[in-house]
Amino acid sequence: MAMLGALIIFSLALVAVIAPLIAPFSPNHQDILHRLEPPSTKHPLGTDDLGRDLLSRVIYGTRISLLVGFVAIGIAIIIGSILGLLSGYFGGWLDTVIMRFVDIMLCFPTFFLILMVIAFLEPNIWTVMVVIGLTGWPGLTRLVRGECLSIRERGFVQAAKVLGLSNTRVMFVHLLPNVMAPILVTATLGIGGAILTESALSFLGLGVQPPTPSWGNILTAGKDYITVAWWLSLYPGLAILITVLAYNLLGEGLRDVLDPRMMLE
Amino acid sequence: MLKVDNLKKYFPVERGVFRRVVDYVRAVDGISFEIKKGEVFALVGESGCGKTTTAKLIVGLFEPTDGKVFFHGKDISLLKRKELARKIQIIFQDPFASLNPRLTIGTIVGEAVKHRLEATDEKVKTKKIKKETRELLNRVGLPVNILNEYPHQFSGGQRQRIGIARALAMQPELIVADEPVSSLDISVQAQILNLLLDLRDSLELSYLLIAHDLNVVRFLADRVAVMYQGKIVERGSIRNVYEDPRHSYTKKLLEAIPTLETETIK
Repeated sequence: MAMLGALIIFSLALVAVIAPLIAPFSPNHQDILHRLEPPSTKHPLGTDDLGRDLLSRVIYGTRISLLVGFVAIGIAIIIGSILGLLSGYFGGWLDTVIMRFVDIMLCFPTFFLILMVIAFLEPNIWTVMVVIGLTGWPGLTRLVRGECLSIRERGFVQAAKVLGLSNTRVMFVHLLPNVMAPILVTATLGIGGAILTESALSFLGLGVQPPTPSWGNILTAGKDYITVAWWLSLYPGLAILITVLAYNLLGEGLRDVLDPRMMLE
Repeated sequence: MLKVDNLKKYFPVERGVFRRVVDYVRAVDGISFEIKKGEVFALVGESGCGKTTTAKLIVGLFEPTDGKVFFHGKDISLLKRKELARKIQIIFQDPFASLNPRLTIGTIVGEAVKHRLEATDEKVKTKKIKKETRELLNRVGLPVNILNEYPHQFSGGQRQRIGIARALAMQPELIVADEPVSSLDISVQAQILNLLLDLRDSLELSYLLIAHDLNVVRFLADRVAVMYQGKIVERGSIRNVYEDPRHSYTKKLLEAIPTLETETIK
């Protein structure tokens, strides 16, 4: 199943890259005479309230959704890994400070924290990515710290210290590569979550702003016409479902493959 | 060469929400000994008696609660990490955990060589690192064509040799060998012990041998100290301690050595 997930993600990435080549229309091309048309051979997924081709908008929306997933989780990984490494490697007061900060961050419901921050900022794709990333690291920090606590007692880390290597080298050359497996799994699962968050924010009108197409804001536009134009809600919804499912399948697969017990076999 | 003076390491026992210190585990409780150049000094005792803690205090992995360790008369707590690394190195008990599974053998040993060499011309340095890494592998009896292989491709004995090569890369004068053969097969144990002896002779090394196997100690060490509950209870030459033990704990330890003699049941 992990291979299926990887295949879907690869296909989506390909679609995002070659979007201008495969989209039948420009995502913002309006054709008022053909508004709210059901799926047909000319418009396979139908058209929206402004007569824009839904297939083209969903294809271009892939770019936004994948970008949000990667950038947001990238930010979360960088912050989470560095803080987790510092906390797990040095321990002591630094560990206490970082972990209490993580506890505080975990007390807030993430989505409402994001809503609160975005309420004060101009909602655009970059704000959304950065805010999702800045609220996504605490769980990862805890995970990396836990792994570091166990690995820092292993002989090779102690040998590196006895060699007199710098703390930076011990952390980034000896510890980090050995905690990459759980980081990768969490990241893969987190990308799906980030895409969902972006979709939810766009659905609430706080994410990617029209006319830039994102799956979330296509859904928002569709909700007003759900009784007369079901395709406006169904297809972007399906795109989100398939993408999040693909990332979850890949994440589960990676978890199995990178499990040390599996590696021993 | 090495002088350990009244060394103590107490680990606090914390209880309650505010982590109040209620007691201390006295892992090492005021031990003193000296190691001369070229000597193999053994610390023996049962598990949990403080041998490994002593080893970690000497290589700088733990800070002592009290007491000092001097190397050639210098307090090691005043030395920089790299300075200490060039004087004292360690070989670990578990050869499977002591090598980074993500790095190649060339990187593991080469990293130590690179760290020791002072910054010179990068090209010259790279050549020098490769040359020295090969020489080190050769010295510990490993083929030189394993530079690009990973630790999991080697047996326990071969991994221990790689660990020894890494320790030698810093050109130390003293090697702390923390149970260097206890997790190896009997046949491999002999090979590693012989290698350690060869290295002592050819490189004029000294060893602090941490062990609980008294046969290994008799084979390798010149002098021995017996540790019990964080203290040294007896010390002396191998011959004196083995043939004429004074302390009751030492006698018990010696009696526990397995032999091939059998009792005739009447």
